[in-house]
Amino acid sequence: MSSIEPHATTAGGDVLGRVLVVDDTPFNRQLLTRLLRNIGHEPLEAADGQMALDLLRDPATPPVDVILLDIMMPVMDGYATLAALKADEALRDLPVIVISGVDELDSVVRCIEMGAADYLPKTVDPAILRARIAASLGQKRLRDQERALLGTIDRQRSQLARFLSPQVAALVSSPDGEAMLAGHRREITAMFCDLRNFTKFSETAEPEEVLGFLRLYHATLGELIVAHQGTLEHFAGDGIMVFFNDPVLQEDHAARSVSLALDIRERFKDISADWRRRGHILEVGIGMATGYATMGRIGFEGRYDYGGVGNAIILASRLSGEAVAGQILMAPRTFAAIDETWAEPVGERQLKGFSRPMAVYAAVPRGEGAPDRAAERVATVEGAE
Amino acid sequence: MTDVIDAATFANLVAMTGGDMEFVDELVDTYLEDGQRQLDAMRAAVEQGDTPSLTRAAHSLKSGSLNLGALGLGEMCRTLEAAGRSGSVPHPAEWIASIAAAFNAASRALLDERERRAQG
Repeated sequence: MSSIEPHATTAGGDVLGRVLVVDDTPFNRQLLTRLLRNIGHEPLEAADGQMALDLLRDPATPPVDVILLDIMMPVMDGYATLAALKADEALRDLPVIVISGVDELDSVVRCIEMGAADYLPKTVDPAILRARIAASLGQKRLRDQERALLGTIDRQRSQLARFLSPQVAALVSSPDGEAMLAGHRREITAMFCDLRNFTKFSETAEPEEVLGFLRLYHATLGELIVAHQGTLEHFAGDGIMVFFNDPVLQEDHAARSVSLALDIRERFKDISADWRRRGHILEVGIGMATGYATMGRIGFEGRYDYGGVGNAIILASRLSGEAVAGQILMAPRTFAAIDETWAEPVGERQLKGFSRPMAVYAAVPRGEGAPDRAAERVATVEGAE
Repeated sequence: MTDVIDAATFANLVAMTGGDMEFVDELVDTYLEDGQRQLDAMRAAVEQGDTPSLTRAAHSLKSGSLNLGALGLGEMCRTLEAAGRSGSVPHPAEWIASIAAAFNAASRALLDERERRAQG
């Protein structure tokens, strides 16, 4: 069987297709296959519904594009064949054109209700045959293309999700993704987290130990970031940056950020204790800030990250640097956007790159003002400045 | 052509095939061969009182007959088929005799046409 190019066309300009003729009358099959061949299509034949199904399910059969189906046949008639086709996931989308005599119009109605695409009179007219087949082929090509495209998008999305945070992966394949990636201003809460003493640890520990620890650290943080629906900008050794309210809008972005930080700190108690027993002091320090930033694609052709540029991001990074072991520091605007019992002032700090000293707040432990569970987060005070 | 085969319908079939007379001859052969088989099936069905098989055979013979121009035969098949679908065929043996006669007449007419064409 010759293979057919997806967009090959007949001399008449129609898309070329492989057409299965299912009819028990040899005269009809012979006439139809000849007419189909004359207009450039490639015919296959079956004498009843069962033979047609066997042929369609045989892996050796080249893919069929359209089925011409007689209704009244021995062994398996047109209705049973149509029902079997529609019940088969792999054959469901194949267009079926019912061949019918003028006195069988009620059967045609029944077939169309069962999912047939069209019908063809039994006293065949080549022009009508050509037009009906062309229409069904056109529909099938569109459906095939749509199926292939959806498959590609799904594949890309699942592959992207392994490299990007789920929010960014979804953004890339969303309809307004391009505009979002091109850059936009958004109020976000940025959170930086890194490890105290990590440099010393990496110098004194065995490389396998360092890598083993980093894997655990990344896995723990990765799980929590996803659970709190933060957007991970990057992992760089022991440093990570997460932001909230972008690309997915989150009204309670400051509260989410505090809640994530509290969970990280809690989870790290056990991890730190474990490493302390092995002689290494490893503790997290977290900083966060709320403010406007320009978010979007950052980088150069061939290597882009989804990230942001803005004061809040720099501030979060500085506060993370200021935090002592296990401390969660936040800027005034983050504090203003959460319940005031979650954090307490820890005085003013002079931060590098900022001209004036700034009031800094530290999250209190859960149960001492901060919520016991992430679910009890209080919504952000909108526009708190 | 003859009063058994409608000339316009036959000419239409020839035109449909793009005037390929060799193929028209093949079609006629297929029709005659299968028609004989359907007639045998009808006779067997009548003997066994098997109305669904009789109906199906009439249906089968009908479409070829109508496409080739054996309109009288085609109409008889149509009527027999409709009767069969409604559940009962009165005087089935007489029906078969009439259909067999019409089929033989159509066969002769079709073969005569081929003969005349061969003689130019």
